Amino acid sequence: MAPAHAPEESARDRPCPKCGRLIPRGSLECPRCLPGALPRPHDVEAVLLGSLLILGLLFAVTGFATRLYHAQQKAIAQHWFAKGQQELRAGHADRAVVDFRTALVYQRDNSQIELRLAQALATANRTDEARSYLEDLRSREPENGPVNLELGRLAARQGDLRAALTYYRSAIYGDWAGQDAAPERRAARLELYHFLMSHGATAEAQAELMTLAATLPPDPNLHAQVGQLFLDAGENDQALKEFQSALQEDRHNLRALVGAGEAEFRLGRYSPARAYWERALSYGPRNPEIVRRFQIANAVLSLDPYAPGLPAAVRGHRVAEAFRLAMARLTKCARARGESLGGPEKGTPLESLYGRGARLRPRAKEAALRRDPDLITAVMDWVADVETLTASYCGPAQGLDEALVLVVREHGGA
Amino acid sequence: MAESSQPAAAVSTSSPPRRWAKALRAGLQVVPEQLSLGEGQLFLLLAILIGLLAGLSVVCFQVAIEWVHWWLLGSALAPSPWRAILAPTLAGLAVAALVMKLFPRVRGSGVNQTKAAVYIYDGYIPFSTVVGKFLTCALAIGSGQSLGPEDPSLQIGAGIASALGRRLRLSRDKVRLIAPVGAAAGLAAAFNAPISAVLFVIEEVIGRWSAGVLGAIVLSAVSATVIERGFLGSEPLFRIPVYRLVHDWELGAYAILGAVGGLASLILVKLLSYLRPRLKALPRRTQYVQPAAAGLLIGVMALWLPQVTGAGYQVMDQAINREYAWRMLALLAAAKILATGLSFSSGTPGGMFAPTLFIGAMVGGAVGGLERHFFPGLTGSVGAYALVGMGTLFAGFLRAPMTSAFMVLELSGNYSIIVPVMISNAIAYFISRRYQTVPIFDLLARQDGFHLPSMEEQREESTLRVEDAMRRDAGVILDGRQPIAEALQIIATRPEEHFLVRLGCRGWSGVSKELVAWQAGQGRGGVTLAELPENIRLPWLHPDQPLEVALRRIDDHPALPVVSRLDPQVLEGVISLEDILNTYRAAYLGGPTAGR
Repeated sequence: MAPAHAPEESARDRPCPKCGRLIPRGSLECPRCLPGALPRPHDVEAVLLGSLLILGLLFAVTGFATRLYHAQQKAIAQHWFAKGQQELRAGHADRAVVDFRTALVYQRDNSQIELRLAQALATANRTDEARSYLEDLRSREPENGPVNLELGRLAARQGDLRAALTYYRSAIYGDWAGQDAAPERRAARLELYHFLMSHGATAEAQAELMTLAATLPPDPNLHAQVGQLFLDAGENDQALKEFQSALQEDRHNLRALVGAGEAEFRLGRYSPARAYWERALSYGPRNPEIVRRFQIANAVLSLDPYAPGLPAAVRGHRVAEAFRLAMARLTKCARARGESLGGPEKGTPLESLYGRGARLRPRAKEAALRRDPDLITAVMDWVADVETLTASYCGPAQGLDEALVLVVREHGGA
Repeated sequence: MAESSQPAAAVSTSSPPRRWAKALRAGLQVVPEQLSLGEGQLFLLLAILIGLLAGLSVVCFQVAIEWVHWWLLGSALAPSPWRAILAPTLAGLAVAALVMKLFPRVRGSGVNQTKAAVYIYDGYIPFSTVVGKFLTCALAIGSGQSLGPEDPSLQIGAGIASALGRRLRLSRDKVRLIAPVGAAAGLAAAFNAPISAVLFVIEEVIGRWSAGVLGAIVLSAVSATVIERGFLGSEPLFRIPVYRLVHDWELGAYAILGAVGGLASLILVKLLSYLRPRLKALPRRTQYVQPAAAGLLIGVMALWLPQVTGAGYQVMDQAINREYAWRMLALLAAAKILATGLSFSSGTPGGMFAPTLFIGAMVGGAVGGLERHFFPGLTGSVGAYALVGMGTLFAGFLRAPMTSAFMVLELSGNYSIIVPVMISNAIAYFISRRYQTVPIFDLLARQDGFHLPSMEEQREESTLRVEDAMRRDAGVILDGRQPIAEALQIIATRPEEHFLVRLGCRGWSGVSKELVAWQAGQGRGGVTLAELPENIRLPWLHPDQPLEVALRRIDDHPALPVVSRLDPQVLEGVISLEDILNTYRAAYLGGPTAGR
């Protein structure tokens, strides 16, 4: 009977129990083990020596094969990783997932591939799978900055404020090995700031921004960026400080000039605002919005009757001009609403205001205004009322009217 | 000095390599003499050598599978359609030709073939089978056939061990034992799980715990695992999620998994038991195309479900890490059952471990996902279900309950998972036993026309003990201090011919009525029974000893004393050859039992 498993072979040959060789069909004895035909008995030592030689050879072959195999695995993983990066950049998150997953099959211990896969999964809205990979990575490297950042993003996406805060802070203070840590940490803190702002946690957001500002390197663009965030948050003083820091590093920094102008403008300091914008317009392209803001600042400065050291004649002229502009705005607004002014009064607020104006008109002349400070106050109060009412009836003021609004608001009117 | 200087002089004239070889050889010759290296020690030394050789071979085998996969199917997770269809089909043709023309002994998974070597062929596995298994399985698994590398690795290891044992001209017993040693090494290297490998070989190949072979098996498995980890890395096979039992009620969910896993294993067994003999019965020429036909069908399946091709370890890893929804997992389980049934039944060489684990992981993940869907608060990680599912299918399909439990522990490295594993495995095992009387390996062996010992039957075989055969009524017991005349008075009227004699602290002996009467007739009535020169000491037995011990010891004694373990002078009963034979007859043939 042969050692095969097919029964039909049993009729052919059978193994010799002594040497293991197959005994041909029909023979009773193994030809090798027949008396007289016995080979010289193998020495144990010879067999062991032979085995050791084979072992050494097999070690060498296996070592070569596995080195080649690992190199190929690495090359394949890199190929799929690069492909995945391309797909991710092109916005094909689902395809990137497949590519990164393939790469991961060939380099299972590569945390960079795992991280990218998690990012692709998160981008493809496969949050649970992404979290699974990220948590696995975090369990291995709890301090890993990029992993914590991704987990923070996932938590932020799901509105989990507590988890997001934990992960973002772990990312900010985490390990960013192999990368320049400071920019990554700043970027993480910025993300956290935006997340907090979007969830109405303004105080926490401001605290993050202050910390960020305190740790900024002497980089004008970074200062300008943070200044803009302060500006967006309404922290005009802090914003101005950051823009000025930026301008100290680079006095031509356009973003800082525009931002500083805006901060000064919001703080009611139209002259320095105008100066910053003027510089911005001289250094950079003529941005229509900056031009508009510049013109408003100019208008405010040219319309403000309360500017210190102003001669009485000029003040009178400015108040008369303000009256004229307000009357024009009131008339235009009434027309736009289909109301006729100057006819029989129907008691509408616009008509009432118009009536007050009509009564002031004979006196709202430069000569009278120059002599009568009370008249200036009365006229400017009327102007403030007109701008307030027309703003609520006919939309926000534009151009010189806008400047007028700023003037009256600056001086406690309206 | 003169002796030592002579070889040195001889060495100095030869080239360095020859000198080293000579020195090594001289060292090897001296060491066994000095340490008197017997066959037992040599066996342990060999176990390490076999472990190293098997480990290296299995590493090469796994690398070969990967290379074939890259070459035929490419490196993408989902191969292109033409590759998916052509690769397993054409490789199937090549594998069939190799099997039919060059390596007819490589059919099957490798487990039964190793068992056959141990039980039928005195541990003989031709080395050509090792080579054939390596080539054909690498081609089949690498090309996408739904088979695994573990069972072939087991046979490769066993084949290497067998070849080495034969070269060393070990005794027949040792050559028989050395094949399982190699099998454990091969399996340990393939599975990166030495404990499971050792347990599986003991549970499924040897069938018994033997101290002599256990040490060698452990040594070889550890050596092979060290080699495998050294060359392929020590990272675990799967990324295992954190396991936590959410609620005690969750154990019920694992019980459901056991039931579903048991049914899945039954379906796979029934499919194999139906399909394999029918395909085998087809004309011989069709065996050239059966693997190709199976490959073609699997290739078509792979167009939609590429996960079912090959061993599928990365898919299992993905299932454990919740990357598939439960519907997909259920679909993959069903598809893999079909694909594995086709691949294995077609005669393509390859193992069933990996497919079993794959199906288990998918079934587990599906059950876990479904339960989580309906009872989110009561169910933990789906990955834990996939992991437990692997053990469940192993218990249900391969019917190796110990290995299945330890395998999950070894893979997860988490002992807290043991309770769910035991519940689920036990249920699957009992379902499988209830509806499939013959275990899969025995079934396959019978389909191949030979009858290997059933390890399951061996495990469950009730052992007959001495207490089952002994007679508690021992009749007259004589005392060694009694004079012959007095003893004769006591036994003269008794019908028995032989009597036990208590010799006090010296044990027991027996005398015949005839001897006592003859001694009395010789005028030696005053001599005590203990002083009789014909007095033969009897070996004694204890009631709890296996009956086969009694059979060995009874020799030609008419009866043996069965004594208490607390005090050998206290007689519990007496046993004769007739009692033993009657008990065996009653146990196996339904005859009358011995008097008790």
